[in-house]
Amino acid sequence: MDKRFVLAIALTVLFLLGYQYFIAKYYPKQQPTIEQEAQKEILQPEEIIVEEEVIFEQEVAEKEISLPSVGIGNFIVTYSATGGYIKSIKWAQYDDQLLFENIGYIPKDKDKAFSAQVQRNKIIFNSASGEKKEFIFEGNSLTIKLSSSVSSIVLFYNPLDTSYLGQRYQELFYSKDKQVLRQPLKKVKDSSFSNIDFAGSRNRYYCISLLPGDYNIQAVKKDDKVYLLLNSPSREISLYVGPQRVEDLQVFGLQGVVNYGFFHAIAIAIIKLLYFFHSFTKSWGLSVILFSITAYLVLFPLTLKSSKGMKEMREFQKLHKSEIDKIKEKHKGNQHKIHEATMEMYKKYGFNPLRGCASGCLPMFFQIPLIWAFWSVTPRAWMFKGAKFLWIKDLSLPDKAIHLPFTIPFGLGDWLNILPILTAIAMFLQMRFANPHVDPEQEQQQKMMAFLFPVMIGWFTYNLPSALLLYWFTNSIVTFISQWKIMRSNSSQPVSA
Amino acid sequence: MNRLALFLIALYRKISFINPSSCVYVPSCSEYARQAFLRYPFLKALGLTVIRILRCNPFVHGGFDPLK
Repeated sequence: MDKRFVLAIALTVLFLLGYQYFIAKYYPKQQPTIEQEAQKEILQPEEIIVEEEVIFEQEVAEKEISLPSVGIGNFIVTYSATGGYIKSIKWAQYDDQLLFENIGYIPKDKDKAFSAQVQRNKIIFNSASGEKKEFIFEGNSLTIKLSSSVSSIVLFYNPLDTSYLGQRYQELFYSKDKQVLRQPLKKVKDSSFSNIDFAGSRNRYYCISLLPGDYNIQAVKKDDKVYLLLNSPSREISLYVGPQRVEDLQVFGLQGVVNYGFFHAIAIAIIKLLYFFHSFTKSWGLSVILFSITAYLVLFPLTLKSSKGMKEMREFQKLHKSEIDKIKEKHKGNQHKIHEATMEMYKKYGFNPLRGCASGCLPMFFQIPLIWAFWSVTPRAWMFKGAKFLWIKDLSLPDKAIHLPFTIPFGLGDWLNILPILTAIAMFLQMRFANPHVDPEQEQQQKMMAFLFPVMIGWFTYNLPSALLLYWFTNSIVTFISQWKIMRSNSSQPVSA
Repeated sequence: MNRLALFLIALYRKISFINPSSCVYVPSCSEYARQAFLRYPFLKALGLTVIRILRCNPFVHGGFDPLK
């Protein structure tokens, strides 16, 4: 074993330890419950300075605890009659807090008492002085109707997510001149923008946005929270509130909100393909498996044409058997020389042994953007939320098959996840079959690698969303099967990359 | 830089057995790259490697293709 190899292993282990630490930081073991969160909020009085230098504070703590909630459509809406605004919104199906709060809050009305009235899809606030505020929900759109014009209104404020990962997905966006600009929520500074097409905020799964129009907005940062104010609003303000599903957003012309980073176009194509598979399988797990197989077939046409190549190879070897035997005899014990001489011979007869079984190195590189895109889709994929498949309870989370009474060391948590283990085993088998010809001097090293590598992969992927692992596992299984077929019918195939 | 590239290639070759043998050329792309980085300055070697990998696709005949 040479020095560099040891160094490589050491570096990898170091990296993995760091990675686990990093993951643990992103996914805190215990998320604070909603009550705790609520309490935290009450403890922090807020104030905000708007254009007219009005300082306003939130209501007293006691009042907030008993705010009334009401289910409207997909949401559970908590509203405050004092001030007349929506305090918070939950997505009823998953009991998810949307993290957009104080919707429709008007600073100057902070202590004004309204009488609240809930109709089928409306909350109507009436004040003693005859002012009226209506919040109308229709599907995922929310319209705020005002009876008198105001100088500015808080569209929402954005508290930071409690988990590190959640915070990373939070961003403020606004569209100007057909271009969507984004800012991570943590980095937002006080600023104002005029002539905006639409603006809003999104987090991991949900978003809130003004419907396209012409707006003047102002972002104000106060104690880790970002307020988005709409200046000189019209009497009717329309918003989108809900999950970030492209097809939902498209209805309102807001598809620009969704962004999957560098490989956005591929990510969108992947989502469309997944929806297509889902249309007849009715299972997201199966869709991921089908997608994985499709990706494999497209990227490695190797499996499709290999049978022809293997046949050619066998025929060639039969034809020149005596010559091959002679070479083997001559360079007995020297694998490298045998390989070289065989290659010379192939060249002499104009035969390419690799032509039939290999598709080249380039297709391998096509897989990188695909995996990258899928990687950026999975954590934000709304459709995987709560999607069950076999023993997996939720495709957007690790599969969590069995809860262990103890914590697995090396930062793996206290759940037994089956998929990463299966992936590691599949990879181990795949390597065993890929490499029947081992250089004697490298044998020990390769044996170790063949064991270490799957273990590292299993470790590395242990707490990733199960949809991603399902893709990976299917991919290794398909690769393994096709390779096994090649190896079985042609064992003298030289291995090279 | 060349040493870094050679190190990465060596690392790749250590774990490349997770992939099915895929190269249609002899010597293989990784061997070709190794030789290139041993012989030429970084950018030229990188260029040669990229061109070789682009050539190594399912639509070529493949075969014996040593570094020139």
